[in-house]
Amino acid sequence: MLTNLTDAELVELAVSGDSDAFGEIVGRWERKIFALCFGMLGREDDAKDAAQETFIAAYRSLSGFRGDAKLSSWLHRIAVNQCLTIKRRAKARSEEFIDDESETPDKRFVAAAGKSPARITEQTERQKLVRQAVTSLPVELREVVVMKEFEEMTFQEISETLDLPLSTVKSRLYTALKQLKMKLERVPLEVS
Amino acid sequence: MNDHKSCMPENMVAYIYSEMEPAEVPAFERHLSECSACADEFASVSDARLSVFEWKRDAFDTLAVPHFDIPREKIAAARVGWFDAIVANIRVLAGAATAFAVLSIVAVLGSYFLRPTDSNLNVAVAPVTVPEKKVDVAQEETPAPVQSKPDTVVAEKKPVVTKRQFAPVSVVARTRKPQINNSLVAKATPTPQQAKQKSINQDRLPTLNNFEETEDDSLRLADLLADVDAKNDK
Repeated sequence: MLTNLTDAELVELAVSGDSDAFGEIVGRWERKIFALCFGMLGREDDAKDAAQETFIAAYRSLSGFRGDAKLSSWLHRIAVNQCLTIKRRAKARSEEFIDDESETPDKRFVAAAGKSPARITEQTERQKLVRQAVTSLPVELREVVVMKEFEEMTFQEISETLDLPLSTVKSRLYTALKQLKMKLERVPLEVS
Repeated sequence: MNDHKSCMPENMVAYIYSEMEPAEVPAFERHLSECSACADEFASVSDARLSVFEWKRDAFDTLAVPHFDIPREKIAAARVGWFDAIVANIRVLAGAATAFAVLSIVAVLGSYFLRPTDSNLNVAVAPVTVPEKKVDVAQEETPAPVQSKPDTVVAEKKPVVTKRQFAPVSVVARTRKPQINNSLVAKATPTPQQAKQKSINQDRLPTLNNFEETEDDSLRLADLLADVDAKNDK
């Protein structure tokens, strides 16, 4: 089973030509890469395109990956560069929406997409976990997260509303996101 | 060169939410592309942010905006409380007070200008010429029987009074007998003695509804004249 292999082992298999191994790599890291792209680009569609470009670029340069660094870090850096490329391209074109005119990516390396029942269940479970994680945050951290994500307030507005310095608001949000990350990683996601 | 200063938590969240200063963005991105540790940290924070974003998108944005339908009547009844009631009452009272004040002023002015005075009555019978013959004051009592029933007298004698009122008083005075002249003289220009006696008589005579003696005089005069005419006819 490919799921039991480490990232390094999967890379070796993928380099040797095993497409399923790289598919497993994509399945393991697609969300995190997508999250990073979303954090950099701020738009879902752009983030999806960037993530796809990242895995395409990773597959092309897989042979250059050395085992001294973590696969995730390597993928992160590729994703960052892809996002920056997309941003520069968008800035040059002065377009808000980015049309991906690149060739259709190799679908062999794209993890199972679409709304399968398992996928839907996974998303539902994840929403439940996220809700529990957010509600379990300390009040001073939770309110900043809610005001930023749900009320879509700017940092300045949150600062004025809570009567806090701007730097304090940002540091609280950073701390809240880190704690959320720890809470979500602590609970294993089981898909029945 | 790794410049971790640009990867401070504040800059990281500011960049994630697109609120970083434009001048600071290139340096941050450059460092992010060069520093694996910061890229990992950025990815971790972005992953947590994405989780909350998806939760909000899938569980909150799909919810319909609740509409709270509060009955207007209850709100109006609740708000038209003591304050509005007091204001309404004050308005009513102010209006009533204003009306009362106006009516009072009108009544006072009317009572002042329309009060019955001697000068007014004299003007009413202005063309009267004072006969020279003195009248026995005792004759003043003759009108008493007429006055005892003023209502009936008035009701019966009205047509006659109407005719007689337009006749010159001086003409009426010439046809009267002395006893008739008494009342006419007393009515026209009462002497001080007559006025005094008149007041005395007024105390004796029964009055109805505090009518002035002068009012009955005109009616008695008409009666007496009618009697005179009747006698003359005979």
